[in-house]
Amino acid sequence: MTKRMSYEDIEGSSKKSIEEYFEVYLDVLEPRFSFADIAGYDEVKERFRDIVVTPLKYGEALKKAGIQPPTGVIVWGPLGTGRGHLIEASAKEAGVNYLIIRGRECTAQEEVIHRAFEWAREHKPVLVHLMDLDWLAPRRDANYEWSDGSTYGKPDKLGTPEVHRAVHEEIASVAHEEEIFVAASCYRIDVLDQAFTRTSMLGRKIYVPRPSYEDRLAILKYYFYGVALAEDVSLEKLAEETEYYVGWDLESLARKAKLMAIQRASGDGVIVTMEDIRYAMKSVKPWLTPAMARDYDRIRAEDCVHKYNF
Amino acid sequence: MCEVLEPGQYFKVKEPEVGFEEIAGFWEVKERLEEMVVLPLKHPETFKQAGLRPPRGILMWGPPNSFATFAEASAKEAGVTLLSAQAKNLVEEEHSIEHLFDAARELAPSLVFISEVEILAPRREAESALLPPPPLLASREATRLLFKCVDELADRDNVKILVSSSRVDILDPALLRNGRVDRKIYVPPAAFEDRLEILKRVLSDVPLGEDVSLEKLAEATAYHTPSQLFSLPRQATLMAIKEEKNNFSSVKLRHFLQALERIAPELTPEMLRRYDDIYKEECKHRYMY
Repeated sequence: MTKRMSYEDIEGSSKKSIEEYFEVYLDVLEPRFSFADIAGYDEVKERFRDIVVTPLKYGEALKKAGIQPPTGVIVWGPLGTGRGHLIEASAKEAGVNYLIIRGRECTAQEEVIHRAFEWAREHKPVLVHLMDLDWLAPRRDANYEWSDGSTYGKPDKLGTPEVHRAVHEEIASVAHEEEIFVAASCYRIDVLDQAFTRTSMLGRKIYVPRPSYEDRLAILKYYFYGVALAEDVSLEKLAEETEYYVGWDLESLARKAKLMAIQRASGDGVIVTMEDIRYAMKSVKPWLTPAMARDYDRIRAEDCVHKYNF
Repeated sequence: MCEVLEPGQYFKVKEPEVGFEEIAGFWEVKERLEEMVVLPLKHPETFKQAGLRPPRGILMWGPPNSFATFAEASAKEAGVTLLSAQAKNLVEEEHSIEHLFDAARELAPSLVFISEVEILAPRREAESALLPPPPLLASREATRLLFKCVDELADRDNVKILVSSSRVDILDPALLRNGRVDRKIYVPPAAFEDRLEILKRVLSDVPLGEDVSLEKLAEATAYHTPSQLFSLPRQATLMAIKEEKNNFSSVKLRHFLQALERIAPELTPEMLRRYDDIYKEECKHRYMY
């Protein structure tokens, strides 16, 4: 069972300094998670090790072997599956600097994008995590509609043409740099400007799917670690019943169940019962609908497979 | 008293007076507040024991409503000090933001409430908003200070932040980042039952004419905010007194109708639809515990 990080561990993470105004828009963090802190997703982690960690860690060896390393990667998949955590863990495993640019916060601030990449150039080796690339650089005819007619997760703001250009320019300019690796996360690959998926830009893709049964079981074990469970609680059964729940939903479920237990708590401590979990399941519903899940499978199946290999 | 305890003109430190009992309706909002604000402030040790890290910053958003009362009631239920500020007062003097958070730490356990937070942390491209932006917006420096103050709060400080906004369309998403104000509560417009409950309470002392039906009044006030409902009995009574002078016996339906003509609804169907749309399409992860 994966040991859960206590919240002091997370709190203690030191923020490296970045000047003034930009410090609120850019995040320069000591990576907090390693792959061991992320439950489930063994196969996906392997992809991250191959595509993200190897070029940063063993660039020399790759060069000797005459292999052109990947220049960047687009990480896509449903919200709440842990794309960000996986990228952060890659930075930790590679032992490099880690910079986060939150796309949704700079849809009209190209100077933040320029400043971020400037910082990256000064602090090599670095992994640049560009969040919400599809907000900043959407395809011209981007259609966010799912097959059931909803538009769940549609960005409320899209990047201005200036920002779009700035992102394109900056990624193109660092693509040949071996010690700068750009990992961009995005919600749907079919709404993204295709210019970014070219080999000379972000040449690789990783799909983080919704968790399978095994993943869900591992995630549930992770979030219920260290809290007393009543005898009637079967996480195996729970994992079976939580189809369409993603990592974030499962975390909320565990949190809500613990909250119910806390409200009931008496002298002998906090014990989570199946009743607490059932109650929590009533209010924590998966955000991913069956139609959306089907659409994700379809988009993944239709996408060319080559970019998913090393 | 040390210097930081002087709230000055920027914010109020007050002993909360109303509790959840005094707020009519809105049971779902109250339940969320109970879970996110009251319990963690009351029993921090139990949360620690269960390995559950409670949310630190919470945004209440929705059509114009009495957000400040919700904050006051939460503080009262939790038995903590309330530091209540209006964003427009914090904008002018930047150091007042730091001052507010210092005072909150000093007075911990405490609850910081900032209303109309979109003034303090506006999106930097306000021209794309649907309605014109408010006349007064914070400088980048003030926004930066706010974020810095929120970032610097630690769990051990035992301070919670509650902010409210009716204009999420121009709110800077950087405020809602993980670790800052990362939980949301949607406060929907008062439903029929909520309005009925409010009217029952505000009209409990008013002598009503026989033709007055609270259900009908609740139906007629679909686009009024709770605070407008509070002013309804005063206005209606005034109408009755004006008409009947010293023969005043009760407030009749026609007085209420006259009063409603004076109190124009603050909400419009178009506005409510827009709030509803935003809420429906949004990712729901931030609303879960």
